[in-house]
Amino acid sequence: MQSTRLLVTARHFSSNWKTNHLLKRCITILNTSNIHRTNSNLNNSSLSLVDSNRSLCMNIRLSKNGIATIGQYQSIRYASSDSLPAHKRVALPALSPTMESGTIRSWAKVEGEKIAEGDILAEIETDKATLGFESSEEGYLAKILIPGGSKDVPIGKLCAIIVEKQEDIAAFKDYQGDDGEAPVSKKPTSEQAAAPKKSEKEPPKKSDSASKTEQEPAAGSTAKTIGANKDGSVFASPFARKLAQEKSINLQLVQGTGPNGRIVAEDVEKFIKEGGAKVDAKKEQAKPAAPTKAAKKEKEVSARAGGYNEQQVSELRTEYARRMVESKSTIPHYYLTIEVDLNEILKLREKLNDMLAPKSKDAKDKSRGITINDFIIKAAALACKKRPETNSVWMEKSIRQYETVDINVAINTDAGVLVAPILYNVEQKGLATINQEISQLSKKANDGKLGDNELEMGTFTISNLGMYGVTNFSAVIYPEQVNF
Amino acid sequence: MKSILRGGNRVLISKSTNVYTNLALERYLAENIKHQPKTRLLLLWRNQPCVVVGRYQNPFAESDIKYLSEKQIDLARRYSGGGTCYHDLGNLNVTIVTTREDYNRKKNLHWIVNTLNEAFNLTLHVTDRDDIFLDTFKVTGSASRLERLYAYHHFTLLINSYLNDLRRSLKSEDQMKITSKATSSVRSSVLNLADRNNSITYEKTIALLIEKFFQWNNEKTTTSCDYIDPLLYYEHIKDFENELKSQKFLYQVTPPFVYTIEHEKQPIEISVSNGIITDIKGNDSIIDKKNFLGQLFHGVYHNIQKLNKT
Repeated sequence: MQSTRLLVTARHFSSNWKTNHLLKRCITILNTSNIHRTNSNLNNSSLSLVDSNRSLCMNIRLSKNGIATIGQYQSIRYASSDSLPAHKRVALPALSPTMESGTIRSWAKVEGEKIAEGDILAEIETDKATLGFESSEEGYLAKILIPGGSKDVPIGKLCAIIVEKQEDIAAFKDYQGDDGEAPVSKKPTSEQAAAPKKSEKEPPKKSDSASKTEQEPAAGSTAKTIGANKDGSVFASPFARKLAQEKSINLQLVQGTGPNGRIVAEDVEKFIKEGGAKVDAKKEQAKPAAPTKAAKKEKEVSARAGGYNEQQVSELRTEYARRMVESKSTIPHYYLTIEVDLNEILKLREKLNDMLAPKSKDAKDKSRGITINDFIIKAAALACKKRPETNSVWMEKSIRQYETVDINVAINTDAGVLVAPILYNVEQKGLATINQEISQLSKKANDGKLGDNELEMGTFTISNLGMYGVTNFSAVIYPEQVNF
Repeated sequence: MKSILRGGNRVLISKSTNVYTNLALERYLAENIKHQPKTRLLLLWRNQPCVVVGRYQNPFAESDIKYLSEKQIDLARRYSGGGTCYHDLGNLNVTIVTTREDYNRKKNLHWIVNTLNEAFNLTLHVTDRDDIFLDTFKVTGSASRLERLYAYHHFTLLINSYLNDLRRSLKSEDQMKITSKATSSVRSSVLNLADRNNSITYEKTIALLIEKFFQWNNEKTTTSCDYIDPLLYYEHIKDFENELKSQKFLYQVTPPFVYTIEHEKQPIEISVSNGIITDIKGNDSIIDKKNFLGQLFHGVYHNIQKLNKT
């Protein structure tokens, strides 16, 4: 039930006509493919138009009656046309839903000056607030269209142009801005048109997935499904929905400030006034990497003729994977292998087990008898006492040496999930105790009843793969630990 | 020293009643405190009699400069926008500082309105322009400053101010003479809260606000407020304070304007930009242009005023 996303590559934006043409083609494609896939819900799908600079310009929502509504959404937009080089358009931002105009008091940068992300572009006054309006882009200030001291500038009005490359500044010397553009438009308009490149070729090929073209959404401009849930539905109040429908706003772009991130009417109004979703720079950084990889992969996979079974990865698993990667890549690992003759230990073990076994008359007692694992755990604890440095934790600015040895023991549960509950004060416990505790924890793990304190991190984790015949393995450490 | 800059839900009350010190302190705290998301800093302060104009206003158009200097009422310009207000010890200043994302004037004002209405049995309401009115009288004016990492919203609360002095100070004869793009104040009739409910005092109000502030922010761990003596942080705030006191900041950042006077039915137009007289249009016999061009307007203001004769 994931919302399908269609990314269409565009080469040039040159006219309204071309945009509409593209839209018609895309809608046709979607509608056609929709017929063949009755179980796929396209009603909440969004169509994103991307220009050759690989930045997201528009997001078009396909609503129930097949009519595409377009939302424009940002105060800095990418544009490209046949005559002008790629540039970013800076429009006057709104600070609140009721704001209609503001005053540009002064420009902090001059035409031609270099702009870094976060640099203040201008001092703006609006609604009794002074705002240091800063740039979310880096580049060069090519042109100032509204001079300092200009009062009552409408929200969304084009104020300046930023270009990526210094040499492009000259192209905007006499630029006046296009008035044909309505930056905060409630009706679907756009100057940018796109020539469909790959989209028409894809649908015939693919059988069960909507045509996808990968594009790398550039940071600072991707449309995010902010208010949307995983299945594409949006959490919004009824009034907000009505408002959004009236104004042709894509709720997926609206940031919700109500309870649980719910979109309320105020958010939609704010969205309208701001001309679109506020772009959260932090979130953007994470996003471009992931979709690219996902998209690329899917492209590769789909070129293969064979089918595949895709398993959704649970959140827990994702988290484990993430931690593992983090651990392996950020923590220096070193491995020492040594062969140990356990003959003496084995003898001792037999002896101890003989001693212990008769004592348990309880048939339900599932004591396993002391295992090699128990010996190893105890040995590890003793080693830690002997070499306290191994019982320490790196705390960035200090190294904390623990006095007690707490060891996590990796247990493979029946469910297949590896957990590692903790044994406290191992150095003080006898083998029997260790054995008992492990049995208990193991049972709890299988029942899924391990408490939080049982899953705490000690300094050491012990894992045994001997039962699989493995002679040597290199483990990945838990981030807070020192030994494995 | 360091602990004063920690973030979280906090209340700080300034011990100073010097408007320049307090404005400097406000900016210093806003810029340097490690604001945490979803938490607020509440600053409470009040000043000796003074007039505070908004960042892009023209003091001459907003107040009676002559009266101010006669009565030794300070003139200050704040960093936030909006209009002009008169402060004295009966006027409480409230500043709420948050991260940029958490900036929300309406929420702040509604909290105040609810708190005061409940405690003092009033009928305050918030207007579209983010003022607080009691019936048809204004009791609060708002202004804000937004930066990348923080934003603050401050507002006044007329508790028991000297309204006559207020009216007198904010009356400007020059209003008609000045044409500019500066922010002009929207004037309203004002009222003290104490006039409506005479049990209301400054002390009671701040005690109430402190208590309710922590409740508002669901804060259980700390409910204490700190009195802050800005003198202890003098080294840190002196740059701001000096800027605020400077003639340059007071007069020269005024947006460009034209000051028109009439001398025996003949108009003289004096153009001022960055506080300096850049042009004079009018009959040469009335005004000796050489003497005035290039001068700081506020320096020759008296002389210009003398020329204004009908």
